[in-house]
Amino acid sequence: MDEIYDVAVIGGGVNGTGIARDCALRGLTTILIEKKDLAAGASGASSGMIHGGLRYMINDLGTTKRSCLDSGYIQSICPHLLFRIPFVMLIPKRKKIYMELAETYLEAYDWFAPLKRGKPHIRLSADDVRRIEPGIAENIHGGVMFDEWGIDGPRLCVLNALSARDHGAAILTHTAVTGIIVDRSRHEVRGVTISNAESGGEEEIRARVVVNAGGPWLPHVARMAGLNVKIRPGKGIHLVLDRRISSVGFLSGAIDGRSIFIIPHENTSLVGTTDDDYYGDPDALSATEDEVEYLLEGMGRVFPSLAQARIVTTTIGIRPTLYQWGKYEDDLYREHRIYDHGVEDGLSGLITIAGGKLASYRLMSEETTDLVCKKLGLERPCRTHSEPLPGSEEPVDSRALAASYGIHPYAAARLVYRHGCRAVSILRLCKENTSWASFVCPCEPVTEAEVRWCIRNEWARTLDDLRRRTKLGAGPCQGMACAWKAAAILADELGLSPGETMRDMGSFLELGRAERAPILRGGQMAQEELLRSIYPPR
Amino acid sequence: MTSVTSDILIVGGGLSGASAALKAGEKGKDVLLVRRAYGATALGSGCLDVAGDILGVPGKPWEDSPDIRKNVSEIAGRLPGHPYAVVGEDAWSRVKTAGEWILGHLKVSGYEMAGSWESISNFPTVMGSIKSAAFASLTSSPCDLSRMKGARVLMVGISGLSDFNANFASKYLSERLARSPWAWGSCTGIDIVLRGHAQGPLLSQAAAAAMDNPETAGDVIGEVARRAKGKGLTHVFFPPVMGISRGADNMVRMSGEVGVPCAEFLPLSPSVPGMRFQSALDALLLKTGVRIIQGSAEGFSHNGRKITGVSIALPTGGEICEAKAYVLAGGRFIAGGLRSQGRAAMEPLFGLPVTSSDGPMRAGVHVDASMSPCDRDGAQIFENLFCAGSIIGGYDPVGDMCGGGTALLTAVIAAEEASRVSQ
Repeated sequence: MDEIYDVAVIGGGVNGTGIARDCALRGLTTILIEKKDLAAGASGASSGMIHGGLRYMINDLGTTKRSCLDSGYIQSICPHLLFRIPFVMLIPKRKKIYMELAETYLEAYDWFAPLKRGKPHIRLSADDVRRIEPGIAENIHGGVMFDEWGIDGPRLCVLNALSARDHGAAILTHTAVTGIIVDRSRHEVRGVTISNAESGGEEEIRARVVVNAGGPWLPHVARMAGLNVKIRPGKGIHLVLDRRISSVGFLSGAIDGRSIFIIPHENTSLVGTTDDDYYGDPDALSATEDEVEYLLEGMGRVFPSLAQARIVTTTIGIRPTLYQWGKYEDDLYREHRIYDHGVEDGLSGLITIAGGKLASYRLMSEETTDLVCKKLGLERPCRTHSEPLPGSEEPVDSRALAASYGIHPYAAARLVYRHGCRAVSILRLCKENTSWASFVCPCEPVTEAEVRWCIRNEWARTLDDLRRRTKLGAGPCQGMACAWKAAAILADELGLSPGETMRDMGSFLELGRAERAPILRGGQMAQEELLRSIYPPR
Repeated sequence: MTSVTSDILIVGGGLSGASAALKAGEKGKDVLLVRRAYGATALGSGCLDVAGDILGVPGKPWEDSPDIRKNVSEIAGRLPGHPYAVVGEDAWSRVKTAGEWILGHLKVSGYEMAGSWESISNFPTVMGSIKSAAFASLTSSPCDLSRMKGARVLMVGISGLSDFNANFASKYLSERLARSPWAWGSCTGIDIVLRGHAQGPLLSQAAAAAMDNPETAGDVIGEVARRAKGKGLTHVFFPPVMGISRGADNMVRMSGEVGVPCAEFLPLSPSVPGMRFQSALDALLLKTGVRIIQGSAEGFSHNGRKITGVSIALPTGGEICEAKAYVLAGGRFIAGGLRSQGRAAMEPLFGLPVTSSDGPMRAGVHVDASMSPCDRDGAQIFENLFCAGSIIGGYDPVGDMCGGGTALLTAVIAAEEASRVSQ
């Protein structure tokens, strides 16, 4: 490529796509390069909350305030993608005094509520709690209710990438950065080299500024420029249940005193999370039975019926937390840091972004893009807090859509959740071919039309990509009914040979088995037996 | 609670339970069968597998050993907990005897299967994978991949049938077989329209129900015959929706009109062929006068090592069945014969110890050569209880490709032992 981009962003997670969007909106020629898929790293395994940082209020007030402010912005740029999660902080009988402490704490948190369209806290008696959720354990004195917002992390990344593309950015997925081009004599970074999938060789991408938004891989990327940027990788897992078992989120204390939760999230319930220093390979993550037991035991103390719930899979990710020696994982800052390597290491043209939370992505992206513009000698205002993300340009009524296109109201609601007003364009595809209204995945009612749309417009190239974008194969069936059908659609849309897509299906199923290995228990065993009969491991 | 008595109570109505009930009935016993819901048999593909090649390389079925007798020995040799090993020397001939017996009954009752006890057949599934079996119903058996070298194949799809993509399956299969000894000469995929179902998504059950209508079936068969004419075809494949009750008849009719062997793809799950197999077993049971209770066996009573009764929960209340002997054929996790409590598998009805020393997929009750459950030391737990089918541990019906054969072998032994004990 002869073009010299203003900025090349490495990494397609929430920060990478957020930065690409901000840069593109400010008129910079932008390219984003992601080695696997958008949100394939930490952004695809988070708790999925745009939360105000309740627990950082005591020792990290700045984070809390900024989080709440930005939560408000994110709500206004993609309202369809957020859902309110009511939370109850439970107070055990033997610690009645905590009720007063908790209420006071949440009264302080109430100050930030208007920033994020939150509701003021409510004090609940034990009876109130039991009326809300009969399954709560006996030994509860009461609770305090507050609320946060939930979001689908991968959809957020895709929408940011779509916005970036709509403003001229080039988005390359399934493309690895193999090196950073450094002009040693002038101490400057000139671009990156990428591996070209078709030719098998390497290609140069020239850019005036390179942003390392590699998340857990950012030290690896920094090393390509001969730099040593340290993070403290924190592995976290979540358990995904087969359905929502509660419409309210609950906090509980695990055996080591850490706060863990169960939350309703889209059409499931999530139990999480863990936080452990991780020294292994970020490309080879798996949850352990220990981590699963830890969560079940901790949450089971207040939610005993969790023992009977069916876990369908686990999500695993690594937080690229800022490096600090000598602290427990929970005490580490959730702050972010922007490394200007020109200033810090004498190597201009390279920026690294580390740390932070999903909820602060827009802010981190703004700060990073401010620095990019400064390096380019430009002063352009940020618009990412006010410009709606694709799909939020106009409101859309999912019931009306369901009626006029003759699809099930639930399916329409889920389609609108994921795509906002672009759901209309997807449904129009069904007029082209009526069989595209059939559900490829019955658990998450994903239509064939939506699968084709995601392949055509959202860079989906594999089954795993489709799972991130639509939750196809992420529900109770774990791909049983839908994996091979989606593989056939991929082959059709992308002109791939059936063998290639069936190999992808094989890896997809293998990935699923690995994710489920530590949760093979209870009601999931029957599904596992059924899955094996349809897709025998041999 | 009302009470009912019988010589033998069978828990479970799949292949194992039904076979055990029939065998015990033949021995002159008064048999009661209680069943809760559909399990692996109804959700299966309607085939009978006896023994696959457990040493085979995945993905190259043409390199697997097709010798069933040899495969049985291999399984018995390598998996000492497998029923094929537990019964001793002559597992294969006992499976064959049991199999010929049940297939004979099914044939007389109107459900026919074809295949061999000596050599494995291979069939394509709707997604283009290859499944091996000893016997398949007449709707699938005519087109055995291991005997189709150089074939000129037509794959018929139905417009709107989301469970099958003719274009994809034809490309995938021919590509896979291309470099193998089973390679085809040619393969094309076509789509036909099912009258009255041209618009919108079509589910398999609906398509099969439509095919039970002789006029609709006639249209479809005529259309296939027309499209196949003059193309020099040797085999035709159709999606597994040839009909619910008229599947075999329609297939025979299609083969006649087209002039070459026609077969259904093997389905995935849930499926019409699986339901046909289950329905055939159900019809057989009704014919022989076995009493059937639709309910859930929940608890039991015993006097020392002798089980005296099983309580059955019914929508209308409950019932106690007092029998002289009992056969537990409740299946594995799908049917709920085994349940997983935390990470440990348990058997919920009699509380029998469950072994999973060979991994979670071979979990089940440990039995002796008479199919009676025993503890870790091999001591029999109850003197009048026997097990049949996948409730027994030590084998993986799917992974070891032996679900059908093991079900039949253990069911016949359990029925014979239960009959002996209930003298």
